[in-house]
Amino acid sequence: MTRPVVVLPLVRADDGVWEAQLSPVHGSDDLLARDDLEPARGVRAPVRVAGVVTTLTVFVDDPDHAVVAYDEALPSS
Amino acid sequence: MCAHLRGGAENIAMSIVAPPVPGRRPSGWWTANIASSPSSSAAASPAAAAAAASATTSSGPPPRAESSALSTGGARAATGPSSWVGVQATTTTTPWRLRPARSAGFVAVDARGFVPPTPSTISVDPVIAFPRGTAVRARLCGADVDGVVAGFDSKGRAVLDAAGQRRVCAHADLVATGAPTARKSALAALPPGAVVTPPAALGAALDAALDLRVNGSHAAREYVEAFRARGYEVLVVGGGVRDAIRMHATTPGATQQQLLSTLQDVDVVTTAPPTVAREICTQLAPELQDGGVWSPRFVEQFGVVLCGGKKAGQKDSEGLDICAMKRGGSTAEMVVDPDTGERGFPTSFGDDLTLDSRGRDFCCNALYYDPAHGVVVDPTLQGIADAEHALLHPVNGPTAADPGDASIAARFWKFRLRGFSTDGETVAALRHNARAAFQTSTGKQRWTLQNVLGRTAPKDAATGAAVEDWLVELRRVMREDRCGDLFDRAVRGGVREGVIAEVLKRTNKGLASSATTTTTSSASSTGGAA
Repeated sequence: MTRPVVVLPLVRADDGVWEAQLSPVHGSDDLLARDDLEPARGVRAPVRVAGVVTTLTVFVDDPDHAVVAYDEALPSS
Repeated sequence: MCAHLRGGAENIAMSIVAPPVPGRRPSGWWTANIASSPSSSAAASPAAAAAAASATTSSGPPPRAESSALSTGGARAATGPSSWVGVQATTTTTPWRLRPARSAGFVAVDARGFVPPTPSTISVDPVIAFPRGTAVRARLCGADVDGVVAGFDSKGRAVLDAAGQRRVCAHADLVATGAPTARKSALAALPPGAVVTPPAALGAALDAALDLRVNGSHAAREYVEAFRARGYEVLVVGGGVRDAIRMHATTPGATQQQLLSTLQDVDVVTTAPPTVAREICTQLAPELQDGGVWSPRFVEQFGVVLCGGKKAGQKDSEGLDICAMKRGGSTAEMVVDPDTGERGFPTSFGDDLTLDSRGRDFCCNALYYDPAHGVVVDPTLQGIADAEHALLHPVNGPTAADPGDASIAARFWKFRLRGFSTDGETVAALRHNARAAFQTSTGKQRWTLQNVLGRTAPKDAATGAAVEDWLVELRRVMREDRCGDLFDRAVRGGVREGVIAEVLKRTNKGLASSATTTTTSSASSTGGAA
């Protein structure tokens, strides 16, 4: 059984860097689960998460929107 | 009473015609019913509503408006903003404050004697061994700190109230300094009237909902029993309880099957930490990868563990959202905890339903069903009545909504589109909140709005045209609430397209083609793309 990938939405910040938009999660409706992300589509790009820029695998939807796998962007501390 | 007239002029042109039953009625419906139901009770406060609960027998008719708050429109409508055009001011009025009483079928229960379940396992979790209120001494940052256990964090560590400061400590580093403290039920400290037995048919439906398959072949009841065996309370919460109460009130003679049809989405709250919830899921469904849990570990910071359902790749189960009872704490900014050195959201959890309810949006969504005692819990004392009459009142009062939280305004209109109504006081407060929510000056604001609207759109919107139709309806209801100008300024051009894309992204429809065509150009424009 293949599971959808739970992703964190990204938006293009004013400086051009992808930025994760964190928001309080209330339930399953708040999480995006994508089953259309092909590994070959991923591109390595700098992403700012909670103020820290890290290079991650980004799946671009359009020039201003992208997603990144939750587990890669926000590993459990 | 005069205080309720504050802002009455703003109330003049309001047009809230949605009836407290599904389906549309002609404009002026409120007015007609206001005049024809003189015996209905309109309590002025949640407490009064609870007090009146035993006196009213109404389960179907809409609540009566306060007569002094009624006003007629026309004059201001003629000079008001353009967004007022089309508002049915001359035929309808909106009461400034509307607090109906719940129907008499709900009978108050004294929950002060309720106790949490006793663990049936030999090893007792530390969260249970150090119950809330226990006086402790902790070794933190090289110093002894005295405090009282206030709850636990997302990893199940003790959260202490130490001289008013939030401190986090592993239970292994705690020493009790006072007499043993008895564990308290999450229902024990609720105000009188908050815990009620539901009408028999409704109670049977709420209980039967636990037999729904939520994760693989496993039913929600199995999870409830597993949590209780570990000593933790579990209650069903949210939209399912609200919708079942609403149907029971508006559809006399509804069968259990009909009531059950409103309970297809079962969410629960528990007194267990997310770490324990994940462990229980793994043990309960060992045949599934990770016990069917699909939410990332990070999400546990919000107290949430999600298992089963379509997002877990299961087509034949509804999924189960398991949420730890929140005790408050900011979730807007990540901070570095001085005790753990970890960066995260400083949310605390525990066993207090009153505090958990304050973290929810509307009273009708802060309703719980306790399967162990067969009772409905209404911590705000207004939720049942609001569910019966399809009314929206923010849990923390109309003026307490955080202007920085864009989601409550969007969720407000989401429920308005479902036929929910409200009063002038609430609309006035939400309008203030909506101004912030519908700002689109910066890219971040645009994204936030798109994201929020994307979350509130119907889950079955499968095409751009369907989303467009929904946006038309959203604009209509926002105009009714005199917020059409916000919509017109914000939801256009790229933002409109962004909302559509966001909705389709969430419903996983129409993405593959658009994503494929944009990936190449977008990737090439990404400076850091390797």
